[in-house]
Amino acid sequence: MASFFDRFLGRRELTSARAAKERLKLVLVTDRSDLAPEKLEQMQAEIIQVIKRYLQINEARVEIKLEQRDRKNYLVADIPLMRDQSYQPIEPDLRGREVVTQEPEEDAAKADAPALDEPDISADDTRRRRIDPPQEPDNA
Amino acid sequence: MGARVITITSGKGGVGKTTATANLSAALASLNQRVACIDADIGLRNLDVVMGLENRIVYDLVDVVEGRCKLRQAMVKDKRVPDLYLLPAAQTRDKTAISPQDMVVVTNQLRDDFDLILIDSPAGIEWGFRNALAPADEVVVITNPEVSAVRDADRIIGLVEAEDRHVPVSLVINRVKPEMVRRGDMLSVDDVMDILAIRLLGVIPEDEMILISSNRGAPLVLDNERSLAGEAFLNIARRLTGEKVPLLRLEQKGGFLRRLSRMFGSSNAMPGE
Ligand SMILES: Nc1ncnc2c1ncn2[C@@H]1O[C@H](COP(=O)(O)OP(=O)(O)O)[C@@H](O)[C@H]1O
Ligand SMILES: [Mg+2]
Repeated sequence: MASFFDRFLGRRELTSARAAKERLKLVLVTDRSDLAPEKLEQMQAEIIQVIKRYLQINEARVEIKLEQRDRKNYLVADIPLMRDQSYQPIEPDLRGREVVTQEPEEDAAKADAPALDEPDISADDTRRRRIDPPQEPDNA
Repeated sequence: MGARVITITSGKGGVGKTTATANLSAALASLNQRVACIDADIGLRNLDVVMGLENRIVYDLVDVVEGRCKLRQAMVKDKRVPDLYLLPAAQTRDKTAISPQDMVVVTNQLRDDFDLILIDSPAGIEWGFRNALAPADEVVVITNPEVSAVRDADRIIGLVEAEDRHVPVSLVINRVKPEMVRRGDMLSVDDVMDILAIRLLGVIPEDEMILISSNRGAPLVLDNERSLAGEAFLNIARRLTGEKVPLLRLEQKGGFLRRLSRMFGSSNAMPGE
């Protein structure tokens, strides 16, 4: 129970109503998606593996969760990239050589625009793409 | 097209479906609507006693469906209001005695003679719920500000929204205790709306007059004595007829709550809306 002063000062204590709300949100994520929590974790691990084949990511800060807005379900992923990443993903091909994937022309033009997700000023500025000249495959 | 069919349901049992059906039916009839209510809880007939019509039942819904009587013969008239009828459930049969298609046929036969048809759904998400849902033009989900009731409401809303028919769903939050909400010991209307995210049709406070009225078999709205829950049901009935009645979320406003308590001349009144 929140004391009068807690309420007066606008302090948010874990009242039983807040506990109820938090528990409801968690249980409904599972109910609505029919995806058990451990399955979600397993999926997250697999998604990270796939993305790592294309991008260097800050694995510790990856967050993938099910969310609901206006009764529609979303799988929301927040995947921070590492600093100094070329905007051209470099992937090793099957023989172990690095291959530069071809990017469409207009991509370079808007490359300086911030990414769609909220800018993360605290950490590395990894959400902006650099307009470096494309790397040559042989000096990669 | 005729009457609108409104199904009152909840998933969880004991949240106030039957109470709401009885009181909303009576309130709508007192607003000069022609109202039929149907008890779809086969085997656990209850709407008749809450409405105080149990002694006048001759035939029931299963008798109608199985052809033992005409639909008209099974309809029990409530003499306290101009145009209110009850179609009772069978007490000694089980829910499989009726199919969803039967419910559609029965309600279609009533549509021309009424403005509104309210269906009191049984608890659960199985057969009885399917029966009650089949003829619905609208669904009203009743819940309580409590984890298990909200969870079940979410499930029901999901099931209704998964239908191809796109039946509109709205929510009634019943048994709200503003004092507990203020202390942080009960989910608020906003909390529940945050989670369920559908149209809010109304809020009913916890009110011991509900029990007193069902003891007597006299819906609150027909009572001369004013009660907060009765007012809340009347407001919801008005909204169902299309009137714009503002929602007063009293439990968030301590000052207004106290003013209202004084207005109703009681120190421990629990206002709803
Ligand atoms: N707002 C309320 N305040 C106090 N008691 C209530 C309220 N709503 C329902 N009740 C009580 O709760 C019990 C269950 O209600 P009922 O309408 O039979 O639920 P359901 O039909 O959903 O199973 C009844 O005893 C009823 O009197
Ligand atoms: Mg009931």
